[in-house]
Amino acid sequence: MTLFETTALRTLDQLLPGQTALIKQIGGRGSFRRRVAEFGLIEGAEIQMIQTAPMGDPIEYQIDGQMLTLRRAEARVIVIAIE
Amino acid sequence: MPKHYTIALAGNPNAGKSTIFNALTGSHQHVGNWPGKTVEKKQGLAHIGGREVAIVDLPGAYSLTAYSVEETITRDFIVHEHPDAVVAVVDATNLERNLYMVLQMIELGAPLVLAVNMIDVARSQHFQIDLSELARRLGGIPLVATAARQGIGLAELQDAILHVSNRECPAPCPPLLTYPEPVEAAIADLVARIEADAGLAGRYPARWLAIKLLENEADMIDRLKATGHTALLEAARRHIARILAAHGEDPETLIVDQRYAFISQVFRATVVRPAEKTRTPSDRIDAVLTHRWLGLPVFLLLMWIVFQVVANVSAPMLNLVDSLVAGPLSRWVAALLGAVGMGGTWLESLLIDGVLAGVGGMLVFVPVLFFLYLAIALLEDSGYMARAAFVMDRFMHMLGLHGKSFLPLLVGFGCNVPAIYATRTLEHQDDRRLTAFMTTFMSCGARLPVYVIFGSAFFGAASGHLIFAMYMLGITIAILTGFLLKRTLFKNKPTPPFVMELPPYRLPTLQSVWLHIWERTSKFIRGVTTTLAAASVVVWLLLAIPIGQPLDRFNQVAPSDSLFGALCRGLAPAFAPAGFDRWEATGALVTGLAAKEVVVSTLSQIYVGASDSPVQAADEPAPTLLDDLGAIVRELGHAALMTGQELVNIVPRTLNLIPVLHVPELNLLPEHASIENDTALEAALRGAFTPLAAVAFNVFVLLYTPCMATVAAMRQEFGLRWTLFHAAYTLGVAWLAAVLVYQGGLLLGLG
Repeated sequence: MTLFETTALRTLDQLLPGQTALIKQIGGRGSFRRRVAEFGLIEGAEIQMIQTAPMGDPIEYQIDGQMLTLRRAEARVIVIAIE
Repeated sequence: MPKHYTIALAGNPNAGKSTIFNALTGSHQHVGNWPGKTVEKKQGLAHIGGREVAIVDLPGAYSLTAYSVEETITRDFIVHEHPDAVVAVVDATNLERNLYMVLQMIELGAPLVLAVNMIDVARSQHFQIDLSELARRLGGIPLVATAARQGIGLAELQDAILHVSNRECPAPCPPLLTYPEPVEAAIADLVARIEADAGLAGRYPARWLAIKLLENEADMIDRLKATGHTALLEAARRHIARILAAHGEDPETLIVDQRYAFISQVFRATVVRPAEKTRTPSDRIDAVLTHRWLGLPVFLLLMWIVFQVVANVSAPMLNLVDSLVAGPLSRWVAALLGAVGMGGTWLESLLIDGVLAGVGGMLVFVPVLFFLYLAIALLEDSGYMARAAFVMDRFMHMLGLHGKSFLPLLVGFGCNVPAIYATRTLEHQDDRRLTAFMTTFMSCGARLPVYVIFGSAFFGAASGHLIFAMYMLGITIAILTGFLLKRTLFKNKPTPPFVMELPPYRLPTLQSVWLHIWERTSKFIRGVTTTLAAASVVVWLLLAIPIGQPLDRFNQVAPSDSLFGALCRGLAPAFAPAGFDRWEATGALVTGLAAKEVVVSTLSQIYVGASDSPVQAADEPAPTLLDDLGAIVRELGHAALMTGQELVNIVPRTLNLIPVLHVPELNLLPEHASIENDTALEAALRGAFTPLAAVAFNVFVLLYTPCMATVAAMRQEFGLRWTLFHAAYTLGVAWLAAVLVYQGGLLLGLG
């Protein structure tokens, strides 16, 4: 059993509804990182995907008990480890 | 006399700030704008401990990083206005995120009182919060648990506010939060530089400013650039580069991480979250309203209802206001002037046709805005507005807009004036301006009569095609304009991240909805009346001044012999390439600036000669004051009844959208079908326009500078420069489009 099999590194947009993951790294511009951090999206935080919007974008997540939305392109720069 | 205290309320959106504000100030509120910003500034007076205290409700913000307009305002107020106390309102069910801004306010050195609000909701969801430990870990700040909606904790909150305000300036305490060594070293160096600069040190807390610079905050950097502090900025830049090179992380990330590390430490030590997140009623509502398949139909249905409410339910009251101004009110002014011997003079004409018509032109929008603000207040306070943005964002993003832009654009089809004000639901100033710019191309209800009369004059049964084409053209031009502005004026402006909170659904309170409506509608009246009255007086003057006639014919000339006629004759050749260069057409377009439906009545006045206002028959006695009062009461009752009827009729109208259904509408007072004899005008139009020129004329009417009320709204929201640019742009686009249609048509042999 290697570590690779239990935890897989992906990006946040790949989470499926109901799936939970840990945030590993947040890319993008400084202002983007700061903004999402203000909503609690920081390394080590647990995040759950709730659903996508009817047209497939944006995506709704739950973090720290609050519901947040991110556009798919923004979720793509956030690296996660699926538990 | 005791010192007059100023208290600020700050906190995240949806934390209950406004509820606390309303509870503290009652009805003693005043709503204005923050200077130069389209953000409401709410102020109120409260009596706390026998003293009058001014309370400022700062706009909801998630942090003090100057990311949005709201955040800049909040930060600047706390830094520069030195309020005696700042009440930080936080949501007890969402402490972790809410504490982020609290921490920033502590770093700023604000005299804080922490109001842990919605404590009742938190308890019912089985949160356990150790309040005294929370206060201790936040440096011993005064903390009050409140449930503002139930009035719980407000007395204690008032005591705490008074206590903090009365306190002498506290001795500077060691910072609550220290950052990793390399950041602290950089802070120390920058603090020394800032304190050496008397101008800066007096203006900003030194440690706070140093942190902002290391956070690389654009707004602060711009301000220091403007004041010539290049050496300090250069030093900060070097520190950032050095830390990044040595540690692989920029200080910005280190600072944010450290703040969160601190917060989660505090959070873990003071809050026990319910073991399992209970499925709240809010989640169950969301399961339907944002559902994969149901989300979009529900959204469209709600928007349809909003449109019906703004466009149709407001109509009876609008007609009432219109007829009151044109009827009894004008008669009373005339009677008053007659009583002082000024009857029949130009002064009477100026007051009635100029000033009163202008004020009336403002008043007719009051019912429309009332219903718009009712709809917006319900959508926002319930929490649905964020869902609407979530559902529509994909589509609106393709157009370079935000999900929330949909509502203003839709409202624009009813009337552009409320549409401009509806852009306030957007977060960013650029999004607001762009959306407002585009809304004016949405063909409003007042332009429809123009298409209808031209359509039936030139295309008979096929007039529907013209009408449909006009609506589509408006949408197309709006989209093209959006693309154009995004690539020019708004170029290099990064798309702000779509991080948006979907707040829990809440039942809107009557008080809050009413305050929204009242504040915003009264602000419109105060802001727009002067502009509209002035514009109306100018038009009156143009029509009154004789040209080529003796001056004693002032106010007694036909339109064609007035300065107005002369101006239109001068302007008319500009429209030759579009196929309509007659001064009558130009005249109609000029008066159409007052209100677009006036285009039809002007054409009718000029071509058919019949005045559109009912003329008092000479042998009929003028109504007495008593007659008028009776009529007003009757009409008021009638309008109220019709409003109710329109409200009820939303149901059958909505059901009838389903093709097979034909649900009858309620019709309590069958209106006498007003048989308008438009045939004379239609015949005259056929003589004056070719069909191609008629289409070009309609294109122009759709696109050119919107009516004065819209222009006034634009000026109130976005300032004079932006409004002038918009007026010029729309005029240019309209001319170009009309010419293209006419010349293109000629080329295709349609002339």
